[in-house]
Amino acid sequence: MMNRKLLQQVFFFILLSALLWIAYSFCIYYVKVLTLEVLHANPSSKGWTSWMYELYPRLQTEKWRFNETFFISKTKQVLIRSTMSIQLIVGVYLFRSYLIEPLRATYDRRIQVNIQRKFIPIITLLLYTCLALVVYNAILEFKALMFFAPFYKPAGIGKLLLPVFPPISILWFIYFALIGSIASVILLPKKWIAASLAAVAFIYYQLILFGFGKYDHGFSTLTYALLIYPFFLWESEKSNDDVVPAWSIVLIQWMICLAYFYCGLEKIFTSGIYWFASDNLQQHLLIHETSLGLKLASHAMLCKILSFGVILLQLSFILLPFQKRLAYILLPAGFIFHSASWLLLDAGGLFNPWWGVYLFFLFPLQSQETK
Amino acid sequence: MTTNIRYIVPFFFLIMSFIPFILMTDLFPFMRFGMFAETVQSTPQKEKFSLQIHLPNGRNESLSERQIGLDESHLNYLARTYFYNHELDFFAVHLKKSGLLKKKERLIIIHKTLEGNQWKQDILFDQ
Repeated sequence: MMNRKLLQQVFFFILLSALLWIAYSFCIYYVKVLTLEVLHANPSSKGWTSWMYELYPRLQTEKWRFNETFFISKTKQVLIRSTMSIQLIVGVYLFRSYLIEPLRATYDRRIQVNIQRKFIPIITLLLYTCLALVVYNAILEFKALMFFAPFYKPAGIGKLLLPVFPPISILWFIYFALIGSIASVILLPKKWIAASLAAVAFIYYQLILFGFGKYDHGFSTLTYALLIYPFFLWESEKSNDDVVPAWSIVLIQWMICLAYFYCGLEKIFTSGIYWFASDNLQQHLLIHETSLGLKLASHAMLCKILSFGVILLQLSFILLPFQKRLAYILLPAGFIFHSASWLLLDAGGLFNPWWGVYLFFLFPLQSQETK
Repeated sequence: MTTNIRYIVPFFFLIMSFIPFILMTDLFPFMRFGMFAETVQSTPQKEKFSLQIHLPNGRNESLSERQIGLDESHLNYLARTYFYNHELDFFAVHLKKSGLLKKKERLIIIHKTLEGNQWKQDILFDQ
């Protein structure tokens, strides 16, 4: 009886998947039409096309640079990714009786971990030192950016939170909020409020820095860590036990691993095997024109091997939460990757917050069952 | 409440990290990680803009070498945006007036395109 029900569900899943992909094929034609409509629309006109320019602010410039085929291929990508996501949701819903309980059990096993209280001051100090290294110079950056105030054009949430370039008094306020909250988290006993303020101030710091039409993902993993870490401090301040629930530390680890995984997945989805089978890395090296990069660009085979290595490294990060020992390989490899990106492609700097947040993998977590 | 937070917060973060991947756009602070994902094939992908200051002693200095708050990639992005929206003169004239340049210094904006292994250069602004 059970097997028959399962067979029925498998049949439904295959049928619904087939219908989904047939719907996708029908949508392709309309996608082309709608894409062209967006490209030929005035960004400031009212209606649904203006929403597309809100969602994709770079479209306003890119539509003059690339031909229509480029944008149609991008829209197809969104459609493919959406169809796959719907298929996943349908699958989870149909097989919920088999999936939900094991998934919940696995999830509980993963997040029901503790960390020893003695590690909290070290983790806190390391995390907020990372933040301090990024923002210590913020007021000078803000003042310099005042020259560019007429070109300030925030995108997305920036339009709501910081619609115009702030005056100097607000810039000083954000700077003091940043530095003050970092000092408070490190020095004061009750930390979670200061940690929340630091996260908000860091968001505002990035809104100012990236308010010129282009968000940079150099601080992404640090931002995730700063947004989640106050939950950890909040739980740690609720009791005086020797161990503290560490689900938020696990979540930070997942977010870091997912960020790398998405980097790899984007390359596969956007460019396929062409990303590492072509002279792609060589071209990137030539465009960025660093002295070391130009030397490397003359070694075609080495560039192909490195391209393959980058994809392998980025995709492998998704395995790290399940196989902790991979940290011995992936974290040093990640450090080398970021340092090489800086030297070869001028991406990032000597200190890169992407490897700064590896600190969350350095401290042992113990299962709550072994408490 | 703690138990709820242990489920709600991870669910929120995991979903929000997935949406930029599907929509292929940044939903700050949740980002799409598409940097370097594109293969370099067409000419527009092989171009960049260079903002130089011509000093009175005859030497050229990159604008990004001065403490201006924006790095090279953001300057390149701004110049590209104003160039393709036919507003480069507004951009350049404002930069000149902003006080970033001293007297007798000239702002030069160069459009560079990679052809083979060589860069082809066009001077877009020189005042």
